[in-house]
Amino acid sequence: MRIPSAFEHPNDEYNGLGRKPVVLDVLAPDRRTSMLPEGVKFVFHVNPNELSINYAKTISRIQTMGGFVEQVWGDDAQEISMSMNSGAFIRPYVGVSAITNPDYGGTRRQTIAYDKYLDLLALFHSNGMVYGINGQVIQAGIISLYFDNVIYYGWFTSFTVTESAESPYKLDLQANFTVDTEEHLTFLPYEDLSVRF
Amino acid sequence: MGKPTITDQMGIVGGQPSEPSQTFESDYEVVVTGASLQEVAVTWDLIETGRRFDLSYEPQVGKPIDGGSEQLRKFSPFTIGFELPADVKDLIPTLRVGGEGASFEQDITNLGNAFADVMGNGNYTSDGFVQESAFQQNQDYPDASFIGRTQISNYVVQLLRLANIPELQVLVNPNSMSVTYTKVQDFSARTRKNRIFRAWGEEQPTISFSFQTGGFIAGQERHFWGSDSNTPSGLQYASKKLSAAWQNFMKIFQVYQNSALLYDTIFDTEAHLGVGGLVIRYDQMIYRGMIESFEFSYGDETPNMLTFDISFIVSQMEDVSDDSGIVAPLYNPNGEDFFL
Repeated sequence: MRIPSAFEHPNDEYNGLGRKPVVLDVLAPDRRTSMLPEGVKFVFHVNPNELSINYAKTISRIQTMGGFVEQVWGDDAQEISMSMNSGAFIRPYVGVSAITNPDYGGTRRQTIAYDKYLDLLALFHSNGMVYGINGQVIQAGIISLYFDNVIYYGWFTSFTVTESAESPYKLDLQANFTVDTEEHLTFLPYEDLSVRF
Repeated sequence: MGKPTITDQMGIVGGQPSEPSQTFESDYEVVVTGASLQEVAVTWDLIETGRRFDLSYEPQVGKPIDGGSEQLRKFSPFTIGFELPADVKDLIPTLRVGGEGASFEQDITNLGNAFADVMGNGNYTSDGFVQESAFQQNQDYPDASFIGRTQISNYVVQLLRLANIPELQVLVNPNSMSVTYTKVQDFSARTRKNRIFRAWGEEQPTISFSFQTGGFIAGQERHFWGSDSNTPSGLQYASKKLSAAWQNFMKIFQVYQNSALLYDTIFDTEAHLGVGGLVIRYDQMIYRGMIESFEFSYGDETPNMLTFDISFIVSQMEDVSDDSGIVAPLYNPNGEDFFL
């Protein structure tokens, strides 16, 4: 008996249940090869409760005697901020648990939610980097973040884990992700296609 | 302010009890106590707090009341303690904080021997050493340098105190704990083909804690050595200093004020003799680092208690859980077999 995650597979999007998981992958410096084991992707225990994608242009405006001069430099780096929570630290027969001392039996670590949080933390620490024996970055891979037919390639910039008395039995997580490139797969409306044919 | 005082407790290593409390007529005092190992600085009044923070203790009157559940605290303990300076660990690799383990006494002996080697004086650990040192240094001013024997005694005494003080369990766990990890990387440099990504690793993690103490509550305690008159009792501001909540808070505050620094208590300078670190244990994690800021406040909406915030910068983080990374079979909370 178990209390399952919200998602069972990265391809849950196509199982007809109407679920769309956020999927993370760690790509090698070639930006194509996954560095995770074959067939393994990171799927959240609970999808982020907020996924905010922020775009901005780099424009500087200079006031002159004759009016404003606008200098347009293209895109600013775009950021994705994610607000998440771990999901409840819950086990069958026990219910939710906030025990952290292993001397008193199963702790909150013995839950899928905590385990998934640790996975996400490890993925943040990796960030697609290849580390040398002294811990320095020697090569940079990249993280892919997939949601609803869009892939964002980039890197995590920060990760905050908060536990508070007001919301016990779970962790609140906040991550920021800077985007290098993104790929959208969408549909061309029939009307547009008919023009072509 | 009275004379600066050195309390020498090296007699515990030499094993020979000494005459109690010998005071020299000089600009400083050397007090030889000849304490036993068990008596070495296990009380908080012996933990230094530096020259700008004077902390005095009085004997307790009344009875501090801890309204919390000790059993519940065991389920999720949050402790804070001292980490000894790294150079001492080079000398005695096995030395641990908090007097843990059976080898602690041997570690202390090794520590004494190690410093005796530095001094080139096998009698360094004897009771007469500080006395001799004081006379040899003209009784007026001991050698100001760290190499001075008296200063080394000062160093070792404080070291033993930090090593022997038990880790402090916080009576009320933080009501908020936030760990922030930040990458050191840059994605701003532009080229004709997108930006250049540069990565250097991570900043030191920062942990922000928000605490609330328990209520300031105390009770009457009748002893033949106790106070003749009634002392403040119940939940009220007058019970503050007598309460378990305040006293536990002051210890946490004292940990911050000490910050595992070994102070120059002889000359009362800020030329510290050494620096260790602080250790927080929670959720099978060990956070080693330093408290960067400490703030506490009284508020009219939360009377008879304190709120305080700590910002902790992590130097080293260790996960001591033996979990395999796979969610393990469930323990039966009734202490029987695993649920499968």
